[in-house]
Amino acid sequence: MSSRPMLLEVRDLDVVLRGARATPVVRKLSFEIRRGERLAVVGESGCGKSVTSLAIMNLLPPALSVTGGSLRFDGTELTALDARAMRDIRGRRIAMVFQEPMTSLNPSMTIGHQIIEIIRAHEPVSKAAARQRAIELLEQVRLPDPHRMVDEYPHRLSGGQRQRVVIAIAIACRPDLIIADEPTTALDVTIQAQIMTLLTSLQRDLGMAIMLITHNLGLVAQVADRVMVMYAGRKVEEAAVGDLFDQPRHPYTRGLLAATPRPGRRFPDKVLQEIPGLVPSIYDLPPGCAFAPRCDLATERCSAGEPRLRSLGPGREIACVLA
Amino acid sequence: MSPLLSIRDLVCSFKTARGVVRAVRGVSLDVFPGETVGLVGESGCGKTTLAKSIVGLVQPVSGSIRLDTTELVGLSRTARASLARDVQFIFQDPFSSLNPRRTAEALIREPLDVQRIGTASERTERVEWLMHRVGLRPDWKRRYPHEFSGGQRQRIGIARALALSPKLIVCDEPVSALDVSVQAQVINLLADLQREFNVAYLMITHDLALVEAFARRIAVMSLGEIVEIGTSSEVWNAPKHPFTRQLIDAIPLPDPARRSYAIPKG
Repeated sequence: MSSRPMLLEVRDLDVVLRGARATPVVRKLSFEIRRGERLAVVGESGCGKSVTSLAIMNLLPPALSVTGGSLRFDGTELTALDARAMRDIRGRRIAMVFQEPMTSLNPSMTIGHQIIEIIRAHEPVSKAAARQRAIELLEQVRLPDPHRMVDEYPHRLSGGQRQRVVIAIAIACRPDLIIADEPTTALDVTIQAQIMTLLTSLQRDLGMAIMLITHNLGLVAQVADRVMVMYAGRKVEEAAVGDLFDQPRHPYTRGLLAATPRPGRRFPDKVLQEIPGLVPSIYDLPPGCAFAPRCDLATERCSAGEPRLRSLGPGREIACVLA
Repeated sequence: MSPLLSIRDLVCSFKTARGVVRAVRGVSLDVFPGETVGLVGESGCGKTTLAKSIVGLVQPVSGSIRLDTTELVGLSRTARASLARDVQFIFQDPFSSLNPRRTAEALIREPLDVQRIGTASERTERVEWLMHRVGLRPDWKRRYPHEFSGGQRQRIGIARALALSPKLIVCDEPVSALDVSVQAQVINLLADLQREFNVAYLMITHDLALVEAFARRIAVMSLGEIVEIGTSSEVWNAPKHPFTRQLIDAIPLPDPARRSYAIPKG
């Protein structure tokens, strides 16, 4: 995997929430995605996983801003680009698939129109040629009757079909990277399986990389090559998918895996293994390791200082003084 | 043992612009005292309509819903109100199901006020006890829903449902809006409360893996009908209906060595 060329290199990314006092939301985050690779980013609400993806796309809401670090995409420093240069990359070279297809599609425009719009924004083609491409794309995402579908409005489609349209828009310009943020969370489990199968087969056929943001460890196990686990704005563990599930090293990763229902597994006096306590508020992070207050293994060392992210061999990193 | 809840040949339908939709098509289901039955299906299968008909939010077209010996179908509003003591509901999204302008105390105490149970100070005491029991700090009782996290809000919903010591709680996707680690806390709490109070749960969910761990029996619903019902391990390990098989196969297993999805190699 590491022999593949580098596509996205994030170094020491800092994102803060502005206010009376700047509150860090993502802290010194570094990771990379190589061409054709499938990276899963896992964590609970507020861990910074979606903020990271919005920072890459330069789509952060006004209250959030990147205050440090570098986002290097295929040799180009994204943080240095002006709005116009960024628009050229966004949608064409990096595309996004969001959770709720109804809100990411425009309800007042036909599906065809929305696909044609993105093609014509990035390529000098005629309307007729773009429409033909739109029909081909709808076929590629396996929507039935693409010639009719192209003139339909989003509300006439099921949730799964809408997400196929969103994927068609995402792949319209053959991007190098697709960022999929909880792409199937709003869908039924059978539809989720279809959409993930579609997304990953397109990803392979078109040679794209995927950054899959999810809280669903089942999806991670099924789809990812490599996994980054985030907690309270930091990376706490990274590993190849097999290593992460076989030998999770960070107590948080272990806790997440144990809390995921796995049929047939029974605990003596409870239904599921829980992680005690709550995710800390970004306004009130504990000193030292942010996970320490919820960690069974925590000692005084853990609250003494924030554990450094260290390497445990190729592709494996952890931020825990105990592991 | 006779069932606590006994549903027979229940039919619910809605009039829409495009005609009558039969959401529940002749469902029969029993829930015994103190047990958990998981009702599993995909969106639009009729599971929520079925749940709502039990608590009187949907009027069935035909069929019967018996709680102990009382027939709930066709019951007057006033007669139903007294039944609230026995049947309570926990909703999916604790944020939209709790009045944002009422404090935790007011929310939890409301069922006690409505049913006029105990004196004012007894109610206050009961609220504090309930908050403590579901893992909320009683000194937070003056806080409003937005001051709690999602998991804490669901605990308020649970305390409120529990206030009248019901025999049955219908839970509609009680943890699907919560983070994984918090999901486990809430499910374990529901299980503890069941042991303590012998309350029965009818748990409506799309999450077959979760219900396999939590429920004694599972009913699988598709297109308005229950297509399969059995103990959790029967349904999981030896599904008889093709739809159940399909549901199980679609669950992404948290095991990269067993990739059941048709995912191409990276």
